[in-house]
Amino acid sequence: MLKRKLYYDQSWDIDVFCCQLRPYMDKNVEKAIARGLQQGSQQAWLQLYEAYAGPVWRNISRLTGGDSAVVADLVQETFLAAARSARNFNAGRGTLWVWLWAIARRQIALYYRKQKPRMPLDQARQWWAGLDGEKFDWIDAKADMPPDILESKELALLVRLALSKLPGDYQTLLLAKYIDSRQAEEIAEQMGRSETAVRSKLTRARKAFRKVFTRLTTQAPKVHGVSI
Amino acid sequence: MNDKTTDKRISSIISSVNRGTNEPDKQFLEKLREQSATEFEGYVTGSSKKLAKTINFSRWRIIMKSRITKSVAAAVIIIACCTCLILWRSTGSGIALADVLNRIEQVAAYRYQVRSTITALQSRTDLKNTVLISQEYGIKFTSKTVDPNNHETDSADTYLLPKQNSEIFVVHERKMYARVKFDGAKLEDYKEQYNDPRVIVKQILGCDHTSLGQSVIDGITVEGFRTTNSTYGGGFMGQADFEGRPDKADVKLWVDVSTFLPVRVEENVVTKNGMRMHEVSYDFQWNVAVNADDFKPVIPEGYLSFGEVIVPASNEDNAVRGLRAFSSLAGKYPDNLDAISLNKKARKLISLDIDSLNDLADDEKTKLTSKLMSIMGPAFLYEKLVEDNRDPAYYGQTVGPDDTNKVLMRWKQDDGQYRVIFGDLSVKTVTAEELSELEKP
Repeated sequence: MLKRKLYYDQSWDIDVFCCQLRPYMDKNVEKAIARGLQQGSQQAWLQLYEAYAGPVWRNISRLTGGDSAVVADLVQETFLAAARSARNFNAGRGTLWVWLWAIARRQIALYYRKQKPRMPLDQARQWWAGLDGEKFDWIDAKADMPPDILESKELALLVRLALSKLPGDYQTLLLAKYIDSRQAEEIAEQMGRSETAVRSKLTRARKAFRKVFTRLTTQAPKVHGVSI
Repeated sequence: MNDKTTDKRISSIISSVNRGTNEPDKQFLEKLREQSATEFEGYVTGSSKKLAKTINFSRWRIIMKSRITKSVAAAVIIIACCTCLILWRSTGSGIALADVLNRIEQVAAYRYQVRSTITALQSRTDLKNTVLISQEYGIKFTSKTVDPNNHETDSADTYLLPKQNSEIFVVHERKMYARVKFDGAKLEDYKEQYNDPRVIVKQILGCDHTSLGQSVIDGITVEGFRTTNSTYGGGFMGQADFEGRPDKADVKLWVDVSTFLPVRVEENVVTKNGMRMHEVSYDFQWNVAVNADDFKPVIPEGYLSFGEVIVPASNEDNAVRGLRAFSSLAGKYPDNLDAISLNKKARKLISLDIDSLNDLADDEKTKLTSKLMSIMGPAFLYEKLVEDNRDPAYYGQTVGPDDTNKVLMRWKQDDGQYRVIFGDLSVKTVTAEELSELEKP
C-alpha cells in the first residue's frame, strides 16, 4: 500500500524503468545538465527548459484539454516548482524528464481535484452508455471505432481522464507511442532495454488503460466527480 | 489481428486527446523561460523572492485583464467601477477645461485612435484601438493587437449600448461573445474604460493640474494641460484597477485653441505592482456621420456565446448575498475581496470553465455566469467603497460564519457612522467609537 502510494506520488523515485523514457536527450547532455543544476548553473537550467518546455506543454495539454489558459498555468506552476528544487535533483532517482514530469503530474492531479462537480464527465458517461456497438471491442482494439465517435469530444474527455489516472510511466509510454508515433525500437534504444521489454510494458500500459477506461465509463455518475 | 492493426486502432483512440489541444504558446514560454531562470537563480543564491506568479499569458490574458473587457470579464475577470468626481473649473490658463468638457458634450458623434503599450514583468503588449462614440447610439470600441513586426490581429470589439442598458463583447481571439446586462449598475460608469475624452477631461479636472502653455501639433495650435496626480483614474488605462492603483501618473491633454476640442492625449501610468501603461489618443474626428447600423454588434458565425451576463449593482444587499453564497460553497468567507482572486476562486467553486460553456444551453450559461456575478457582489461593493474613500475594511481571513459578533466588513457612511457586516452576515450601523470597540482584538 505504501509503495503504491509512493508510486503515484513519486513515480520517478520508485520505477527505474520509466526513468529512461523521455523526449529524446543525449545521455551525455543530460549528465552535463544534471551536474550543472546541482552546481547552480543558470545555463544548465535554460538548457533543461529549452529541451522540455515544449513537451511538457504538449503533454499537459493532452491530459487537460485545450484550454490554453489552464495549460499555461500548469506549465508555469510546473517549471517554477522545478526551478525551486532543481538543485537537489538526484540522477540516481531517474532522468530529468521523469523528475520534471512527476512535478507536472502533481499539478495536473491538483487541477483535476479542483474541478468539481464534473458535469461534463457525467455527460460523457451517458453518451458512452448510449452508444450502440461492441464498445469494449473498440477499446480492446478488436474492432475499428466508428469515425464519428473518434471525433467526438466526449471520447476525448474519457480518454484524457483515463490516461490521467494511469501511473506516470504508462501515461508517458502511451503518449510517446500512440501520439508522438515513436517506434518501440526507438523507445527501447533510449531506455537501454530490449524491444521485447518495451512491448511488454506497452501491453501492460494498454491493459491498464482499458481497465481504467472501463471503470470510468461504467461507474455511476458522482456528484463530486472523479479525483485523480 | 496483427500488431499494426492493433496499434492503429489504439493510436486512433488515444489520439482523440489531441482534440482541441493547442501547440505551445511561444510567447508565453519565452516569458516563462526568463521567469523560471530568475526563480532558479534566486533559490541557488538564497535570494529568492516570491515572484509575481502570473505571466500575462498571450494576448487573451492581457485582453481579459483590460478594462475594455472588464465586464465580460464578468464571466472571467471583471470589476465594476464607479467614480465620484469633483469638477474644478479654473485651470489658470486661457482655456477652461470645463469649457472643453462642454464642447465635447455638444458633439453628436466622434471617432479617434488609441495606441497602447502595456509592460509588465518581461511581457509587453501593444494595442491599436479605434473608438466611435455617439451621444445617441453609444460606443463602439475595436481593438487590435500589434506584434513586433507591426502585424495587426483582431482582438476584441466592444459595444456599449445605453438604449439596451447592455454591453456586448466580441472576443476574436477566443471566438466568443458575451452580452452584459447591468442590473442597477449605472451604464454611465462604464464609459471611462473607452478612453472617452469626456472622462479624461473630467478626471484631469478632478486632479491638481497645470497648464503646459501653447504648442503646435499637426499644424494646429493647441494648449496643453498636465496632471501628475496619482489619483488620476481616467482613460482606457483604468486597467490599473486590475494591476493595482496608479503609483505614478503623467497625463497630458492638448486642446485645439480655436475649437476647444482635444487633439491629443498622452497617458503614462505606473501601477503599484510595477505595470507600466503608455497610451496616446489621437486623430480625433469630430461630428462624424453615424447611424444605428454602425453600432449593431457584428458576431461572426460559430462564435461561442457566454449567454447573458448580469452584473449586479454595488450595494450592501448584493455584498451580503455574495458572501453568503461564497461561504455556503467554501465553508468560509473569501480571504480578501480582490476582484481577480475572488473571481478565480468563485469560478473554481462553481466549476465555471470557459471552454465547457459550449456544452451548455444559453439559459444555463446565464445562470452560471450570474451565479459568478452574484458571488462577486462584495468585491464590487468594496471596490466602490475604496474609490469613494469610505474607509472600508474587510476581515475575511480571520472572521468566519460562526463569528456572530465580529466585524467582517465595514465602511463609513455620509453621517460619519459606520455600516458593519458581522460574521453571521447581520448588518448594523454603529458609531465610530462602537466600531473601535468591536474591532479590538
